[in-house]
Amino acid sequence: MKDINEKLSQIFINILGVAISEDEDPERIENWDSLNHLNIILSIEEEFKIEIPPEDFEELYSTKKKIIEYIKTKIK
Amino acid sequence: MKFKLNKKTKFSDYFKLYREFKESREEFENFKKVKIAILSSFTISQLEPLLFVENLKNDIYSEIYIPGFNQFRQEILNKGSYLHIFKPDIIFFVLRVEDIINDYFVIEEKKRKRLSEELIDDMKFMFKKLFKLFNSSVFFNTFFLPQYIPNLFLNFQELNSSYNMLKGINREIRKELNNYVSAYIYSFDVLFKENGISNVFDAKMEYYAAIPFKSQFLIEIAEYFSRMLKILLFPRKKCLVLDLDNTLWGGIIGEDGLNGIKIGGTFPGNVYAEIQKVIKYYKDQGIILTINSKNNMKDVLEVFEKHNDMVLKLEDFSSVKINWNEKADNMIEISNELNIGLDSMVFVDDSPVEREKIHQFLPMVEVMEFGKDPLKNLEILKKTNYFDSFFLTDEDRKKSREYEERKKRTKTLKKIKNQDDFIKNLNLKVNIKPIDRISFKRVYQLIQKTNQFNLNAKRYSEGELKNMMNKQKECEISYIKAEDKFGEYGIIGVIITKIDKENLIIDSLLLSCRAIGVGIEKVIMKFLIEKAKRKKLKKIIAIYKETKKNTLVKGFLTKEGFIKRKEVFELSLQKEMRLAEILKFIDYSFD
Repeated sequence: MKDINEKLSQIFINILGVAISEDEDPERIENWDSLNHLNIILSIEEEFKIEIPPEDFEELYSTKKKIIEYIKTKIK
Repeated sequence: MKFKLNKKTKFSDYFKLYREFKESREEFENFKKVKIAILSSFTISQLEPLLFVENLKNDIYSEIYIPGFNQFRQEILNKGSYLHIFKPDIIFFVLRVEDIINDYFVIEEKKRKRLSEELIDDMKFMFKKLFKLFNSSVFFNTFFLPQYIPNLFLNFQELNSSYNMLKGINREIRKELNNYVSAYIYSFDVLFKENGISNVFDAKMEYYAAIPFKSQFLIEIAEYFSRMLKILLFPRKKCLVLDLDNTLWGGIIGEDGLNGIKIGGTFPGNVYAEIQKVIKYYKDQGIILTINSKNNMKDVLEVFEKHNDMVLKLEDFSSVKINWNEKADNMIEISNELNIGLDSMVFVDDSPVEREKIHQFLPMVEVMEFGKDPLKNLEILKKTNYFDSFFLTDEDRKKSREYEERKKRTKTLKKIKNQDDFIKNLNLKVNIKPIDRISFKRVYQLIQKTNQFNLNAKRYSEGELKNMMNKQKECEISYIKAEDKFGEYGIIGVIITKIDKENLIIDSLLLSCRAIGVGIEKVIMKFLIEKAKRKKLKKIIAIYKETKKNTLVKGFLTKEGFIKRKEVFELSLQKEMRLAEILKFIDYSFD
């Protein structure tokens, strides 16, 4: 869990240029536009070696906490 | 500053590095600065951070502009577009045929034929506009096959199948681009092959966001583009400096003897033979070969004379250092002997100790990391980027031979003590002519790589040079061609002059190092003085700028009577200019 959080936080810092807290609403983060959302998804796929189907893309436009939950279900 | 990435750099890391470094232009003072535009028929905006960072690895600091996908026509044709404001030095096209012609691979033959012809005409029109409106160097990709070709085997059979027609389109475009000096063709096919096609395309992202490539493959593209930029922006290495034992052959000649070393025949001798073949191939591409080996001369000569499986012959090497001296000292000697900079040499040795010493003592020399395994060495040799080039001028192809001729010249020079006597017997012919389309590439190449005899080391970009060539009234670009009884030098110098009031301004003056000291400098002076007098000018002003390597030029200017005034060197023209005696013995002409 901690490991996932760490890796995901690094991805946010890398792509968005800011650290975000667990419950932060993506709407409030300026850089989190549709292109960067794709970049985040591509990075998550690379980092955790998972495949994310397009129908889940929207679901991932969410808080860090929820994304961690999602990744957990995927790597099991 | 050297910029290095660790091997585990991930896709998202590039974004961070990009943000960190794109604002710190001044940190990269010594890097080449270029503006790059990427025009694509699909989404490729991720290339911006990727290419920026890959470029830093190659000492290139880039500003990158990527318009929205399939916007390339508007960007080129509409003079108010950002592309026109941005003024890129370099443009990469990344186009797919299926984005331009809908259903290219499924439409019926007649329609496809018509659309293909329209596409070719469309591209021709676009190139015409592009090269008229922009001074950029342009990289155009050949159209590649899509992942899915309906009825593949039928496609192979039919002459006008989409598969075969695509090749025709590529051929036509290639032909058309040959008309433009700053156009280059590249292909994705090799990159697809090297990465394995399953690591290239991402169907999900293609349909979701029009991003057809996997993120890892986008990094590969960035690396590939940067490699091309490196060829364009930096001179290629000139010389391979080779070790012998366990490099050109297996084993140690001093211990294993002529029959013990491994070269030719079965494994691993055949691998060493292949290594020699690849080296020979580089020689044919104009790379100078030299030997730097700790050995007894007698032993080595025996190998070259008696071993039938040696691919390389002693005559292939322009300089041979076989002794027990420090290899770094030998390097410096080779550099002096051939009159080439240490920074244009690549050192090849299987011994980590020797490699480390060269790293330490001569950091400007590139070192190829050979090891114990000849198969790996062969791979390293084949994959090296040091000798990449987009074009070989006639001068390149002849280069190795010229260095051999040069050796003969220096030998003659050593015999004849008086240099003037040497020049008198050389039957030197010098021709100075205005630049034209045929000489353009070579002139550009000389401007990029001449260091020692170079007035100010101004490195005009291809676009700038092309622009100047088209405005020959404002400035005149001339090239110098020479030959003597030992052989042809080819195009070995460039003179760019401008007129400012009553002065003839020498904007650029450069002479390839292999042509220094045979009297060509005197012909240049004659050329400049004649030009100034013909235009009734009073002074010749040389825009001199000292660099690390061009001290030679200062000596030349002073010797020819130029006087330093502030930043420049001036020569006042008198009615009677005494011209060098030696000119009588040189056959020269100016067009």
